[in-house]
Amino acid sequence: MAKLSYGQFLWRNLKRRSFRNVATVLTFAVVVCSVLIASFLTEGTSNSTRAGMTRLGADLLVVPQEYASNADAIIITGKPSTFFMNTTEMTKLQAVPGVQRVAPQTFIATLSASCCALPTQLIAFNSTMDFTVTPWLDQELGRPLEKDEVILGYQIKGTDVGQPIIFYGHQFKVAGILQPTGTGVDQSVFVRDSDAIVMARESVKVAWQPIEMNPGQISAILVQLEPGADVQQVSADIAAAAPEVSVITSNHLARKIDAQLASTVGALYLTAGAVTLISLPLIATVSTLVVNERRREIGLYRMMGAKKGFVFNALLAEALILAMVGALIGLVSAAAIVIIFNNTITVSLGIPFLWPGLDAVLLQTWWVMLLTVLLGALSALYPAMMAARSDPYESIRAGQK
Amino acid sequence: MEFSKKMVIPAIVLMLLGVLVAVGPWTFAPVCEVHTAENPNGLWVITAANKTLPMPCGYTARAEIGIGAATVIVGGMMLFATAIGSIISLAAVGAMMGGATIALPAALTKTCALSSHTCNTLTAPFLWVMGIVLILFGAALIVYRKKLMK
Repeated sequence: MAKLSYGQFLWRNLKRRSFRNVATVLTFAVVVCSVLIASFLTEGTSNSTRAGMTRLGADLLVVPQEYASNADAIIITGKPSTFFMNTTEMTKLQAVPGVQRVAPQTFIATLSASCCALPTQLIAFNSTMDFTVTPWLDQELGRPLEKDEVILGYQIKGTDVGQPIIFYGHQFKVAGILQPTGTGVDQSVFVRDSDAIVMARESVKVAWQPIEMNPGQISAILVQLEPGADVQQVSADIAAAAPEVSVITSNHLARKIDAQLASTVGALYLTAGAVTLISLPLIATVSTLVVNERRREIGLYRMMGAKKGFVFNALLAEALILAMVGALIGLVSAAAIVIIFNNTITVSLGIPFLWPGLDAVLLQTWWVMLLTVLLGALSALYPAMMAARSDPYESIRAGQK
Repeated sequence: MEFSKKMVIPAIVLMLLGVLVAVGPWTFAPVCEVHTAENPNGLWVITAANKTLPMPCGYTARAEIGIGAATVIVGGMMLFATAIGSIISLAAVGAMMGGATIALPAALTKTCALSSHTCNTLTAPFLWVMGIVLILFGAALIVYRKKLMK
């Protein structure tokens, strides 16, 4: 007779109760899947917000009060807008204590472009005052942006570096493509303000719909604070100095995104919690019933010389295998759902998303998997102890009844 | 040719999946050029010469018609599969069709660049799911081929 290895012994035991084991595996899979989706979404949105604000390169973004939600939408989801305010606000901001420097930007929603078919956000920056796009240009391009050159957000892919791109009938040339941030910045096109003014002037003659933009009009002021300056204090001082503007901080954006994400993440954690609360006692009860069913078998193992520890370890190992398989299925499902439905989720919830780094993903996955395996072990602990303590003779007799 | 009664259900499932792959991108999981409430005229690429062209997702939707039709044919052939070898071959082709269903939006003809387009929020996820279902279905037919023959 061929000898059974420990693994084969466990596998045969699991195979004999396939329906119960599949149900147990699926329960663990649902718990892990729900928790990991919620966790990936939370980490992905905060990673994206960080990347977006870093790309903007400013501590504060000051916009006209009535267009604050438009500016939020440009950064968070890339929904294009055109709005203006006067440059006089810049002078007020420069005088606020804690403000190191300011730079204007102009937001223009384009008409359908050959690259994108849907309107795209043009962001015109001032080459001499800018401190957001220029450092990137110095680092990646090694030179400033030349006349009629544009920098594309990561998602504007209808064209490539060196290729022409037309906005409002004005032809530009692509000088570079930014790294992904997962925010609306990926759907924006950066252009020099002097070129934007020329484009606006020409649009009256060559575009289907001209831009109504006058020299001296801007949409937003990017603010860089002095080292050590308190963001909240400076925001309050700006609001007092220029009551007609709104101040957008990364905290404000994060709070807004959290609010949009809260119900979905809450529902996912609630599902995981409810499934855990309902299923764990159920799994423990079913395991106890199965141990009762297997009393004769367990008694025979003991009669043949199996020690208490062997019985305990075997039952615990079976539970751990089920929990681990369930956790793996849950992990694969969660990753597949977030990868496949990434755009559907972010667009329907109005949130930005950028996959967190591999280390963060692995860390989250490790904790969730560990917790699940521990829960699996916990649910099998009592039945395994009960089986190990049972008297072999009594077990065989009880199992024969 | 001999008709295989036992293969009726797998064949119908495969044909149904093929029809969904072909029809989905033009109806309930629309690509950008399909007329919707948001875009009554659909979205098209307009070139500098004022020529209207389909967006990348349009080519994906057109290619998926071919993949869907081929899957329906494979399903039809399965109705007459009486030998294990034929079931394995047809199931493998069905699974490969699943791979092609995914490869078109993911790597070959692709979808539009902007994540907010319906081809990225609806069509691509739908095609991914259909592709995975086709691959798993083909694999299941191969694994359970002996049971199907009993």
